[in-house]
Amino acid sequence: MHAGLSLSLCVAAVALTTVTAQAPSAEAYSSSLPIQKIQGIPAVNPVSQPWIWPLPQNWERGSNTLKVSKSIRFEGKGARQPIVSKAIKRYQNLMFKKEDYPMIPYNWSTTDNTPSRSSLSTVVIDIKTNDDHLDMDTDESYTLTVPVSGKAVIQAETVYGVLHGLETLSQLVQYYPERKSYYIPNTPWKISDFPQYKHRGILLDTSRHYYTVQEIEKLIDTLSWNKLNVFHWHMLDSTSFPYVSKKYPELAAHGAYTPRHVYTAKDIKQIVQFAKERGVRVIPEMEAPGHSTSWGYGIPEIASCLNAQPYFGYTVQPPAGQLNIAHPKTKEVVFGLIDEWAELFPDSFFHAAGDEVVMKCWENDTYITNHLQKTNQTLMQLFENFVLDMEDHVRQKNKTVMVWQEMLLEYHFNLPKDTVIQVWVGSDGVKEVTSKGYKTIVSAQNFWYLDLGFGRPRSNPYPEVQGAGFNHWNRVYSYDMRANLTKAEADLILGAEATMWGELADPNNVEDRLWPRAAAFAERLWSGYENPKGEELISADAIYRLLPWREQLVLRGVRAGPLNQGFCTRNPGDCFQPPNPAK
Amino acid sequence: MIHAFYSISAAVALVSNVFLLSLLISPDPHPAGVQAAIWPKPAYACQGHRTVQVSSKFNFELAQDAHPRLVEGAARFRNRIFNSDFVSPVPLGAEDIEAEDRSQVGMLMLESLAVDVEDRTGNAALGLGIDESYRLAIAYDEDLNTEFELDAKLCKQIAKEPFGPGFKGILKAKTIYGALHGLETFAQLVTNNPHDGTKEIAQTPLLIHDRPLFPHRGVLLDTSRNFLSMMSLYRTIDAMAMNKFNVFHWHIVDSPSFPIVLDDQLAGEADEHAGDASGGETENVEGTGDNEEYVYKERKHTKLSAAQPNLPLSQLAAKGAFSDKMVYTKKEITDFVDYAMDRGIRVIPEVDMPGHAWSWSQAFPEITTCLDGFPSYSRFSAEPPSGQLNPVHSKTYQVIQGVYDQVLPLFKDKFAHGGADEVNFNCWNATASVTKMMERKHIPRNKEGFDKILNGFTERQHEMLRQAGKRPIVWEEPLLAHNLATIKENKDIVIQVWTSAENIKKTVRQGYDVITGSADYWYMDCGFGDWLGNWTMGKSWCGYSSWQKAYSFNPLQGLNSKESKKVLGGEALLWGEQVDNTNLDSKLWPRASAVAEVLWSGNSDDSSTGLWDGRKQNKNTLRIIEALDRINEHRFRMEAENILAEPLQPLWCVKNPGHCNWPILDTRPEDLAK
Repeated sequence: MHAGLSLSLCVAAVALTTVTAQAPSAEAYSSSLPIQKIQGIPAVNPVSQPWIWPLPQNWERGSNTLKVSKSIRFEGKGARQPIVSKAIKRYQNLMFKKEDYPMIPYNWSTTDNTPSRSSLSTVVIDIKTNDDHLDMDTDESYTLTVPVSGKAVIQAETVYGVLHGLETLSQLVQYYPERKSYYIPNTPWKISDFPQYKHRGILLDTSRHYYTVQEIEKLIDTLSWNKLNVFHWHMLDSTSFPYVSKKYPELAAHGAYTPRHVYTAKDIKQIVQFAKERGVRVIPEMEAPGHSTSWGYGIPEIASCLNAQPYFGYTVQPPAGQLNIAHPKTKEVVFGLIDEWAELFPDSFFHAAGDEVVMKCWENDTYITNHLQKTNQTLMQLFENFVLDMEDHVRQKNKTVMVWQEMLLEYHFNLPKDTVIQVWVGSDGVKEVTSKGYKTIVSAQNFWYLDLGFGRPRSNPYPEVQGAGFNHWNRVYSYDMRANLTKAEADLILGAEATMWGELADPNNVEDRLWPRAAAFAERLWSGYENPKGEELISADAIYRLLPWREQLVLRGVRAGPLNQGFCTRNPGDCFQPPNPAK
Repeated sequence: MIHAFYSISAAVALVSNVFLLSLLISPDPHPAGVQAAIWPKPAYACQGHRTVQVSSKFNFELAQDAHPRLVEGAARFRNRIFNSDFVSPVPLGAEDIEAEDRSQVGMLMLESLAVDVEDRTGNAALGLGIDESYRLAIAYDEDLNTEFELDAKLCKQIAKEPFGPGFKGILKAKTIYGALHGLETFAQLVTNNPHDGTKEIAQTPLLIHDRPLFPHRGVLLDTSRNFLSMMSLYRTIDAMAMNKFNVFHWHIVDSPSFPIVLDDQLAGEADEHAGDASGGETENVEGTGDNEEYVYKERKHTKLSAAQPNLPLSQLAAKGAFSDKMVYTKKEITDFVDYAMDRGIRVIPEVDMPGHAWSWSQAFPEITTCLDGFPSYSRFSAEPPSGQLNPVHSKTYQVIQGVYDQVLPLFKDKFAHGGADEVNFNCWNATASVTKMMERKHIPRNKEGFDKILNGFTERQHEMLRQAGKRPIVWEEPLLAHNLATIKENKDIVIQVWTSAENIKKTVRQGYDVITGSADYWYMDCGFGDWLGNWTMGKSWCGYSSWQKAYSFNPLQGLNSKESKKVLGGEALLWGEQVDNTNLDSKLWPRASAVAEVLWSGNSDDSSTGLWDGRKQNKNTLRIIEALDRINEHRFRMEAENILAEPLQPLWCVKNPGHCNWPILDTRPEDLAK
């Protein structure tokens, strides 16, 4: 199509030499760029990687073909574990969701064309521990064997490892449209798998636009299929307050968009339980003391510069409004909500936010300026005390505190070393945070913000914002969080989150925005940058697996957008950027 | 104040330039959120301040012999009005609420809308330039002269008069297509009372005079790069009708796939399929081998028919479609064309050639060339897969004729798009049969020489189109990038300009009608990154157009009034590389709605609201602030009709009109905050 102009432009803009990745040395991940500009022609023969997304750490396969019975028996004590037995019901369905007319027919040339006499009829599930506690340190590893005999075994330390094993097993099943039958090609399989990063999340903003409980559950389902394990729930923001508090019901009564746009305690419990059954932790974010207009509709005295007009100068985006950090009622309300959330959200992480505070909002609030005079402190001291008190209150609930990077890098608050810092402003922040010795979760907006690239949600035309570009799947996939870090610093990365902020996303387009880009993100977090043999994982290989995985997501009911045009979906190898494109 | 009593807006002007850096807007929230938020905005309207209830027995009064298309249309709109529970999330401005007189609600009912169409029986065929105007009144009968003449005095007068039994609704149009637009407007005027579900129309009495600025208002969808289901296409037609679009440009065949199912052509069958015995001479050509003669041969209305060999045209889809499910049958196409025409939408097909033709090669490898895969595709094509038709092979023309004979009659419109974009001469220069012929004929292997070859191809292709009764549309390259005699000699060819305003000017100055749609503004597929498998940092070759940017494009920029007349209109274009059934709606809507309004009534008001020209540098300024509330509402209205249009702002902004505007254009709030 009309890309003629582009080729020459892009060619000029991008260095064409294939950058060979440097193996990580013991000393440092020394690549100066966080991403390789262009990756070479696939190093690996496309059919030599199995269609499993994300790619397992260790896998071996043979060349026999095993028929799959539609009524598989799941055996072993593990199969009767409540979370597992529910998952089995789901996977008995998902395993057979295949396309009659696939855009990417499975390449059967790698496997014996005549299926073995036996068929997969039994899956033995073996769990080492009965404990179904889910946390960052939960062991998610599993092994899966599918012998030629047809008796598959999933072994795992915890139920959550079993869930990942079931997902992998479901992806091994391929449909042979001409025979109208299901097979597992390339048996025997031996897979031994574990995640490279413990914290693998998606942030969803349900304040700027509302999502129903069912829509959130569908997202959590999709996370689990991609072996993501954290749902970071950015529930509150300036735009709406959908949480129905037991103690302060007036907050939602006045701050939610409508009485229907709310989350009750019952909704939250349902979502948390739903997520747990899929191995997904739910981490709530209590956005405060910035981005807090919506609190002020229900309890006006706890807000400063509430919906100040004109808004600019008081906030980075409308509407204006922050918590009044000097008012005693504010802490009371915040602590009260923390108390409620600490119960509703059993996870040991709690996000205390702290981003994008605008000082002018407080400086123009006479309540605050009077208070500062009376108590003889500076605004920054008041701010720091408020934040640290809030975080202490969270810690008293035995929670690990997560905050946005400004707390450390912009305000330089005296945060305890156990605080987990979420980096978002840019990939440089990872170095800054880890060099100070803090643990980090990476959400660098120049790679892993999935909501960007669509202009400003304002009415007026405005020049494009620098750095707020669209992160396409390849860029998402290829970002190396460890760039410029020492080994010790890189070890402080707990994981990462891709974000879906809500300005320009709602249930109509969120699935297209998220998938399959979030799947690309998911593989990087699960499979890492190299496999255990030290071989690098690159997008030029991944595309061969991501294309069928995207199709699988669509079959499972997710509106995941296409990665490319159909010819390239069919023929990925014909659609690479040539190393030396013609002028 | 846009909707203040008897404000008459005459939307005739178009304003350019997204980045009106010099303009300041008032930081005050404007009075906004109007129930009668019609999209696209009518050309002229005046409204009062009384709410009238719509009777549950409401009906459209049609003439006895009204055209079935209108009868069905009216039934459709009645269903939509009475099945909808849509309530706009955009609230009325306080001033509007205060001004509104609801005392008659529940007492005075609007029982009917009389639909009066001059061309009652629907003789006028739907086509370019058909009269699409309508006049809609909900007012006192006696105030309305036959023409519903609209002036400030009348508006003032009718608004003051007390209610009475003479209050009625009348819709007048020259054609049924104008009437359908009027019905769409009427349906948008009717709102649900959120408390009791009754139907109301606010701000009556009202008078609307409406007609489009441009006769060609299109949406392009590309069904070759990724397949779009018939359901997706039908849904797009529904959405287009809500936006008063009137052309569906169906880019149906391109390189990646050939999704039209054709019949095999048996020898001698061609005429039957063509449906017209255009009596051309028969050019005797060999079934195989190079046709060396065609470049110079004088051919007047030659037609390849009697000598046609068997052509297995069914193989084009059998081998060139993505699967036998991912195809369109002739029946599906004709049903679809009827469905679109029932909604006042013309369907113009484009089978792209001679470039962008890899998909033909699966059935007919001999008529295509440079099918090289990776990595050489990049020498021959802007994107994979590469493949062009071979212009010197006689069979090429037999196949094209065979395809046209079967495809063109499915589309009732007088226009057909001939494609002709991005023809790559490297490709032909690397094709032995082409270069051998050029050498023999002493045609230099340079641009001039290849233009000659392309000219021969184009001449022949356009002859086929004309013989099928179609007026050709082509992309801009044949005129602006090549020197083709056949284009120069045929000034009735319509040129679709997809690049710059500069090229629009060049085209109209050479005397051609032009369809606009700049890639910088109206390409709805741009901005989602490069999709080549290994290009980690690859960006889209063109940037994302926000709705504001799309809205700011002026197809008439820099043209004088005579030149402006050559601009037929424009299209919102959604190419298919990263679009399929999963994300079609959200990629297209509501940004294409911004394009729709520009083409229907422009993007500025003559009477400045004062919001935009604080420095009085422009008399006519973008009405983007006022448009925002209407497009926000329209987005939700489309959603209520099952179009998955995406949000333009956080819901808070939608519910708080005027509170989310950009304060000063050349300063960022982040900077101000510091």
